[in-house]
Amino acid sequence: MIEIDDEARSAITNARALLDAMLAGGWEQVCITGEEGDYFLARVPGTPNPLLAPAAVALPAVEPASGQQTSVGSQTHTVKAPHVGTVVWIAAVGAVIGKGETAARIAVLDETMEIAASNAGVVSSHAAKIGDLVEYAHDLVTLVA
Amino acid sequence: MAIKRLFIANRGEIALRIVRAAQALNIETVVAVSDADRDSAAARLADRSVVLGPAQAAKSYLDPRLVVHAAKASGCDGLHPGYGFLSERAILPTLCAQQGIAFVGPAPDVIDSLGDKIQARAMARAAGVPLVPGCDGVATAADARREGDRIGYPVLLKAAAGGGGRGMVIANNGDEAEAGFHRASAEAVAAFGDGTLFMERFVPEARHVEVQLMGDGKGGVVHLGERDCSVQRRYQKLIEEAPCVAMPDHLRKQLHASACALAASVNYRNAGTCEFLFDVKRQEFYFIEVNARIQVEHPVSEMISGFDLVQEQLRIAGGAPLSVTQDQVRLSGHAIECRINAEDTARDFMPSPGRITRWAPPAGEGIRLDSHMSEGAMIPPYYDSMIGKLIVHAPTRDAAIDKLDAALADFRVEGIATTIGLHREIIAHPDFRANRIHTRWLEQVLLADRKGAAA
Amino acid sequence: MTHKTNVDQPVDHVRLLMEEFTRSGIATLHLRAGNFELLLSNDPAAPSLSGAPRTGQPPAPAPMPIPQAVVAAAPAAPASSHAAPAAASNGIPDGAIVISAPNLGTFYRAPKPGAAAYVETGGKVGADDEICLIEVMKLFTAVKAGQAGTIVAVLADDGAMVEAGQPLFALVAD
Repeated sequence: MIEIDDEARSAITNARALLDAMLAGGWEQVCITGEEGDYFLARVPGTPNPLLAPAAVALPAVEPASGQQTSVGSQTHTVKAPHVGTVVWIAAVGAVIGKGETAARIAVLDETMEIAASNAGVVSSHAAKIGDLVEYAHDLVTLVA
Repeated sequence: MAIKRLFIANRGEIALRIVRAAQALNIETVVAVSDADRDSAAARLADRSVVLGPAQAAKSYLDPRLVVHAAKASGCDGLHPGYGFLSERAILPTLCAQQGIAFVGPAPDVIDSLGDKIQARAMARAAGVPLVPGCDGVATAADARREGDRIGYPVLLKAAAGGGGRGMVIANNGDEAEAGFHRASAEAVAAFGDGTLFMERFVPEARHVEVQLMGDGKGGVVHLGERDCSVQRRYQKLIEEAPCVAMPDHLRKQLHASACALAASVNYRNAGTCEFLFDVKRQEFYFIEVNARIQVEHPVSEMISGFDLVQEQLRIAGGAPLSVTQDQVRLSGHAIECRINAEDTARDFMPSPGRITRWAPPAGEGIRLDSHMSEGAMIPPYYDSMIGKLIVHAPTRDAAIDKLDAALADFRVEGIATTIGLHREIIAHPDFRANRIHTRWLEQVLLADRKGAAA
Repeated sequence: MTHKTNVDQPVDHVRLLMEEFTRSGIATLHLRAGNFELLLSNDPAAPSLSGAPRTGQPPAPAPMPIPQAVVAAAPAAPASSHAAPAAASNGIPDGAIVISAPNLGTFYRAPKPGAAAYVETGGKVGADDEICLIEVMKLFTAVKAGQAGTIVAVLADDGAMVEAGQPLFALVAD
């Protein structure tokens, strides 16, 4: 058994999902970088790995969180559902959200909860829409710092 | 209205069992899962799964609001709670009713009253069900002797005010009852400020016998015979069988009639179990409690009756009356179930979560396995340790034991520790074969011998 | 190849990923998140994380993170609640001893939800004092201090899943 933290655990979950998607989609390679980690998958041996290229670490990082140098390109941050619920409100694309401000609201029966952003940013995309039943850890909105 | 889409608010083998029963009735299924169970067998077999929350049960399976919201929002018109978790919490049927979802279980007020020990005893008494002979207000040593003589020894004396084992004394005769009163009463005064005692008959070697009931809430109640669940460790059942061959027929008839009378008195709807303590020496049985849900050990009753209890639960929750009358219930042969737990019996039953690297269960006529496991499956550390139930059915108890022994010998599980070996030891024991067991036999005899041998 | 300080999750995620990687037959899978980095490769010519090309490696699923290297703060803690000398490098005072989890389970600092913690940092404990509970599959095990002294650090979060041998407390003996 190998001990890992939440961040690593969710990165592994993401990697597994990417692997599935890659196999299902018939893609040759996948490379994703961002706040939620960096990923590179390739079908064929010898495919150059951009994560190991020297340039990959030289990009300007915007306010690296607690000294961690995880970003390649823009800093993105995804606000996720803390439990199952129905989306009743979601910040508009382009809206500026401060750290700790509400990025979405989900309802459980007659009760509505505010889902706060843990980092500041501009809403770049929605991963759910109003009326959706979102499950635990499902993405709600993506913010770009 | 028959249920069209069922929400399953449980996990493990029972979630899988319910999905299969629903599919047999052409009911769509949505399974609630926690983050740790995303890939469970039930989730894979169901039409859909909904991740309620993180692995911790308190934030997923045990949150009634999340459960009912997910059921409603996923378009379900029925909800099966399984056993454990929220199955006997009245809040669940209450929320279901508010959302127009049929709850596969009794009405909330029936759950509440049966769940309350005092109310349940009062209801049993009113229905003519025998209770353990006892007395509530023993205030003097003379009271203790008089009541002890009336009840019959041995008796148990304990503080009327508090629970637990404090101030508990067992008395075997009138002198001991008087002496015991002084001791227990002094302790009760010290602990609770009240020296009044409660006294009841103590049955040192009791069997646990229970009746499987099914009611439709429209006045119909049938029983599917009784089960003997006397092989227990720390009040947890390990082996259950049906019928209870230690009970003579005339007593069995009374037992069934008592259980049915209690269920009928509350117009019971759903599968349920009426539990009794069976005093073999005195040939008497006493009410313990009613479990208002499907039980872990329901398969032994299904094996001897050929009746699918979970499917019947779903039909009844959809508004149908009982599909059988008592005359149509035919019980035959003998069935035994072993609960297979991921526990290390050599290390005081320490749970053994982890990945199953080999899973090769036995199969054959009269052998049934209710399990959510498979090779490569992960047993998470968050929930209970049961990984499956092995059930056999044969014409007689002896034949069933033989079949079970062969089946257990064929059962190969690797990667984790299991109780399979212990089950083989139990059923190979002369006391088990001779049916000389009681609820403390496993701990007092077999496990004690094991410890002695290891020392 | 992996460095971790904040150990609070079990387990088999890495193995699950490796199994799926093996089944998929793809050549390379590389991920980085925080301080965690993992490279799985079937490509004998692929560079390793240190940048050096690996030669002579079998064309099998590649570098397994080495468990010992993962837990920077918990060097080979024994699988018992009994104390082991704390490494000087993890910010625990010299001479402090580490009290570890006896088995895998959920770490609870209080006897029941909402109750006060058994002990806080700076608290005095006796050898037989219970200082936390470890729950696995509904079985609760109380962990005793084992030695009288002062708790100088609590090394796991309340409610976190901990593994056998994972450090829970640092204690300076009287």
